[in-house]
Amino acid sequence: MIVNISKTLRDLYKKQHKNFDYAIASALDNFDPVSFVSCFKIVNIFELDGEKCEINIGDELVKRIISDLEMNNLDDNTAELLLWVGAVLPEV
Amino acid sequence: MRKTYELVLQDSITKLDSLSMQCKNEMESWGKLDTNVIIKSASSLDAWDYCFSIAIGIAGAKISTSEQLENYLNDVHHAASGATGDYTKLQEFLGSLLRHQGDAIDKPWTEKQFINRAYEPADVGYHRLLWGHDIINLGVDNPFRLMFEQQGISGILQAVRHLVADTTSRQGLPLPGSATFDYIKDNGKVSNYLLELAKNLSKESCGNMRNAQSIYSHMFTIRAQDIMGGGAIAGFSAMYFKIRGIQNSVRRVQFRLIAYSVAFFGQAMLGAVKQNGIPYINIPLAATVFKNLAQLYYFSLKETRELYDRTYELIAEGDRLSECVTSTGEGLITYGNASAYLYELSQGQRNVDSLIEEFERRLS
Repeated sequence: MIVNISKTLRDLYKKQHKNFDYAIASALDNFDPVSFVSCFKIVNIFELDGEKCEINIGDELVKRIISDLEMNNLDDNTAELLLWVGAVLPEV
Repeated sequence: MRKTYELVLQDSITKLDSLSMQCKNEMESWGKLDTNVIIKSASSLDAWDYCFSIAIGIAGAKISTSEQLENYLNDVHHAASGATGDYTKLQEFLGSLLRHQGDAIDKPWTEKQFINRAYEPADVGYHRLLWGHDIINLGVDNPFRLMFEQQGISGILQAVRHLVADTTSRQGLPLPGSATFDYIKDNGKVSNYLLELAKNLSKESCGNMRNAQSIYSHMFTIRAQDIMGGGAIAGFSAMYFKIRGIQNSVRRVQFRLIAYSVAFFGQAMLGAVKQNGIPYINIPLAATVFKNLAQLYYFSLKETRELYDRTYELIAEGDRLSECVTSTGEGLITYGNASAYLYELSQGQRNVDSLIEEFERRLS
């Protein structure tokens, strides 16, 4: 699935040689879904504006995000919030 | 005649004095052993061997610490985890070979998040240390047991695939036996001493826990990159031996020992530079250094044993010759003291004198 996220965020992932899918999966594996509410609130404070770009997220992972976070569908904003959470997690 | 006898006697006494002095000097010299006279055993290596073993060791350290290779292997792990991304054909191939998703090694199917051995949420970033990845742990989270329970007999193979795949990850596979370092923290949660040690080393080196992941990964895990560094040394060494036609086992072991040691300590130093004084510890390489050291000790012991056996053969031969000499002189008359020999000498002179007198009497 193609989602639009901040170009800054994409560049951060590139710089750290991180994988979008792996980072989001790590976040889902490490945190209880309830804790994402507070995570998202913190990330939202940053008001991430600027240039956007397209990235690809695996369909299997999209299904898991929708299931774990009990959502109807995955929108760009949620994908970006998840990627910001994934960005701060250590790469293992 | 009397004068001749005295001259012979005097000459014998002078010779005895000289012999006695020589014996005394020789015996005194035994106490003053000059160790420089002992010939040192020559090294099996020549100058080229030293140069190439060091160069190969440096190449091994470079491979084990290359960030480019680390990222490449990490992408193999991403591909093996089923994450989409821009991979090369080889990464895709290796990823499909080592594919692991939803394995009980990472977390039981009843759990949504990573857990530790007490079924509590695992410390973020250390799930492998805390659950399912210790191959010699006999507890419920032994990886082979978990996979057997999940997939049956094919689960054993899947466990191997999963564990091999994890060595390509940035963190690596926890050392076998890591689970024995589990302990209960003050807050009642299960943790591991290796994890705490990494955190403490990070705090000491940079004042916070920013480096804990890196320290743990490079000190207490098995990483494919580390194994590749050691493998490269083995490969380059084999090529060098083939090109130069080196067959001598001792020389080969000495060469490899230098190469592996240079790689191990080189990697440790590069790690210390990157991690504010905390070295990288390449466990597979350390094991190889130890193995080569043991091999060298074995070969030295074997040579010493051969020398020992040869020395005893020579001693036995000396004893046999000594016995032979003694038996040859068995017919000779021996006396208990020196005066008896002198008496025999004068007796011989008297016999000669009486023989001469007899000849003179008959002639007259």
